[in-house]
Amino acid sequence: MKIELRHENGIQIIALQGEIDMHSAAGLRERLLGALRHNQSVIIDMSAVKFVDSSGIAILVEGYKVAKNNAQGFALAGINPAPMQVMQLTRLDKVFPIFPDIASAIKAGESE
Amino acid sequence: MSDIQPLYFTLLYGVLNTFDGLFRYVSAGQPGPILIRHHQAVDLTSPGMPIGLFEDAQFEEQQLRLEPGDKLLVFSDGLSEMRNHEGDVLGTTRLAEVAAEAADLSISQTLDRLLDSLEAWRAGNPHHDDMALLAVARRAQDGSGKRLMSIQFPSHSEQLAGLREQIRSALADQSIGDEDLELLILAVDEACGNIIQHGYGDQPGSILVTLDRYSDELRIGIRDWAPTIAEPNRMCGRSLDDLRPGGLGLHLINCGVDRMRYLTPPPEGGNHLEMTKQIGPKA
Repeated sequence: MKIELRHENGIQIIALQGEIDMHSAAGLRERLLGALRHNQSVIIDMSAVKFVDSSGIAILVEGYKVAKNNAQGFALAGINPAPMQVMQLTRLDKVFPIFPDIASAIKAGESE
Repeated sequence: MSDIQPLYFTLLYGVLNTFDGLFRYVSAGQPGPILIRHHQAVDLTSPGMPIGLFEDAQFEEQQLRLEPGDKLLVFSDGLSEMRNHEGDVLGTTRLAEVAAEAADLSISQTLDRLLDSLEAWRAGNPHHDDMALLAVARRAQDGSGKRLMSIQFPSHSEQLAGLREQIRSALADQSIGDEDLELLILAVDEACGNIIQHGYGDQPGSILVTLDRYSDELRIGIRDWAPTIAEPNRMCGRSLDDLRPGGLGLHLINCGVDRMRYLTPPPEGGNHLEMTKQIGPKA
């Protein structure tokens, strides 16, 4: 899985590409928790992610909880149908702030 | 006249692994078994002393792999030693010839046909030994079930992506919708992830995943050789209301398949998980 980090308007955007499973989850965890150490909001761009399993879900939950504790913004954007199905089955679609794309996630963050 | 009559008995002891069809057996002076494969019946009687005759008797294990469509007959010597009016002993060779005639029949028809043929051959000649006959068949692939995939890989998480790809291509031309397919792939991924993480831990090991298509369902077999789980069918996932990382795998497996159950652990140890998924008729 490819992980790219960029900054846009003071927000950290983590763009993921590939599949988040038990193998790739460890790398994602490191990058995500690393990014959350900076006192900035984080948006995860999921538009190039085709598969997420419970290992991936666990990392997102962990990241979300860290962000919430630190009062940092945390959002997921551009989730594809298969990963979205996993979010729904685990009811996390009601927990995570989810946006159709990065632009709408940034806009929602600015208006807060 | 000797004071002590030697007490002994003959025995055929075998264990059939229903996952891979491997039949391991040992014969102690017992005839058979007979294997019926491709319209031919083969007498697989192996030498072996009856139990009780010699203290230092050695027994050699035999192995046989039942292929899809094969039938195996196990019987007592009372059956193969029956005689007709002329005083001829039936024998395992003649029994095998009769068995070959039943090659295309179902398992119950095979037994009926064999018993009819043997009765006809004996033609009412009295018989004083007990008789037992057991027939086992492995389902033919092209009839009720068809093997779509069988892959074995090392217990390591880096293998999971390849596994998912294999399942995706094995099921490409089966009548399964995209959502169901993704959930099924997820269920297998989760089950194998559990084996890698909890079954083998950091130990090296291997996982065998099979995919079989039946008329209205898919059967997924997941075999590992990690320590056997005690009471595996009682495992349960956690509540979804509890927001924390981890513990969602079992829930996702249950979402992806209609049924999952652990089969009786194979004799050589490990675990055998079977998952089934109902699907529409073949396109």
